[in-house]
Amino acid sequence: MAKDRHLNRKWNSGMLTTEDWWSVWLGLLMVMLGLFSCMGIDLVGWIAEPKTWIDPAKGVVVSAEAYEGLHPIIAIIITYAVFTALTTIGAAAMKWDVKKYFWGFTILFVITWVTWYLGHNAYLAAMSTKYEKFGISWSLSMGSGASYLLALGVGLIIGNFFKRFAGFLQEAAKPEWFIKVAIIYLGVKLGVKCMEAAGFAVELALTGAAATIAAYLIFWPLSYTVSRKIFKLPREWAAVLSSGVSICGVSASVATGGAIRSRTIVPVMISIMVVVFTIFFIVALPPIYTATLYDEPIVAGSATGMTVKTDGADAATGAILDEMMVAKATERGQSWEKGWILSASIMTKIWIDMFIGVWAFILAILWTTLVERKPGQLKVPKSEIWFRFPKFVIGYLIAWFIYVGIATLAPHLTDMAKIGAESVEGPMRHLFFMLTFVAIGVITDFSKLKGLGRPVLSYAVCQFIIIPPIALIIAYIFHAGMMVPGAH
Amino acid sequence: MRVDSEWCLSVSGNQWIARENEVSVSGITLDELEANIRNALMQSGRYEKEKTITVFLGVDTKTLPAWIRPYQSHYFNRYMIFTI
Repeated sequence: MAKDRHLNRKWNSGMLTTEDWWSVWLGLLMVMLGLFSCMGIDLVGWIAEPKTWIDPAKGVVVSAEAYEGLHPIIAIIITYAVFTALTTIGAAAMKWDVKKYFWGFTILFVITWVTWYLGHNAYLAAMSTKYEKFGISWSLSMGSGASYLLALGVGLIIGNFFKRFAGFLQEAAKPEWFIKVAIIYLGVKLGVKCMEAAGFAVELALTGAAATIAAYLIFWPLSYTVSRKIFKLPREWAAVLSSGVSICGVSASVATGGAIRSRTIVPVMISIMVVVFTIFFIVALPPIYTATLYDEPIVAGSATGMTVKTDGADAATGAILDEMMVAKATERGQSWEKGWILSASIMTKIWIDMFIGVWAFILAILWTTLVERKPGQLKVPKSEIWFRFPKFVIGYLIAWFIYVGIATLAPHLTDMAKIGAESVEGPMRHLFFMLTFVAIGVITDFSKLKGLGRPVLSYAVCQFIIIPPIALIIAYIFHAGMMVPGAH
Repeated sequence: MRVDSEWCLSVSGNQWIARENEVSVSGITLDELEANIRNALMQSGRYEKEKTITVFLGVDTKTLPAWIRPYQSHYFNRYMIFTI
């Protein structure tokens, strides 16, 4: 009997060959190294990070006190060496072109660092409360948001105007991989925050789940009906498009394509739309929500999670939104802790991700029994749910619960644990966010939408007209009145 | 689940293609493909008459373009059950 190695048959298929699993390995490796701080050993504090600057020589700092003697340039080189080595090992295991990956990642790293650093110039990033410190009279006051937008802009310019160069970088431009690693690091942040506001984190998780289920049950049928009745798309196109636009973008399109046994070309074309359309939200949604939902920051975060497709784009939008809302609060003399609005958007998205497998399984059963009408002849294995489960969520939950466990079972270690956690959930997470922004830009080629006709129109109507207002209403129902903990 | 026969599916143009070792069948629709798999197995002489067999159908993950695989490395697996 044939045993084709390209079939997913075993529960552990892909553990060493998929980005999803490699994000777990890379994420948890740093989480574990960070935990050594509980024993007084800082193994992660060597990472460099930009800080707001007016004097260029003072724009980069080393993360932890234990490494304060390290020159920032050396810290950047160490950061580059560590993450190039780790991700290249992953690339080799996934059988990518290692040489191309190495050079591609090196260039991405340089672009990332240059944009990260420039975006922290005081005229772009400084809040009005810091004008005196930097000796300036004005600033765009964008916080880290300036770096994110700069990185995205540079990536988009490469992706749309230097296509040969973009083609070369694509071996290393992996936004989903980078963002999944970053989300695992965010699990550390959530764990640390739970030490301070456990009740709020639990409430955020539960309301996020409820909102997600509501969204599934409303978005999908509406999008399917619009695609079928108004745009007259065939069933396979309508089903895949509905999952892409209402659930979780590319993953859901592919999962649904598989569930209903569509030709592979269908999810591929829908996925192109998903990737390209998300850019509009990354740029437009944060300023709109900041202007209109300032009093409901968690509603804004959750609505972002339901509206923006793909994990990378959602996290990117959530990060900019977080920066802009926190900056606005600062301008108004309030103090909001960074990360909660981003956590709201990511938690909503993670719930959506987790249900993809279940949703695809249900669709597969419905398609087999009601549409194809082959009950009893074709069986859908339950293992499909596991195959489609986003594995990075496991890493995120482990990271989160480790720190909750420390706070609960060994509270005397909390302060020590925070030392390692700060480098992982701070500079390391920001680095992977920045890599994601550059990579999203590089892989987004707007010209790919040409000639896709009715499916594009249907997708655009669902994505711009149907999803955002409903997402906002659902987010409001479940999150209204939730304020960033400690806001004062 | 015990499997009697395992087929790897791929797409070429408008054709679905299934292969098991050296045997390859194709069909424009999945219905046609499955009918052809069933015929191939019936004619293979490997199974007794009136025996119910379980056939595993899995899509070759390489069918998906490389850039999309990271988002979802899995397409679909199915079991086809029929009597020879």
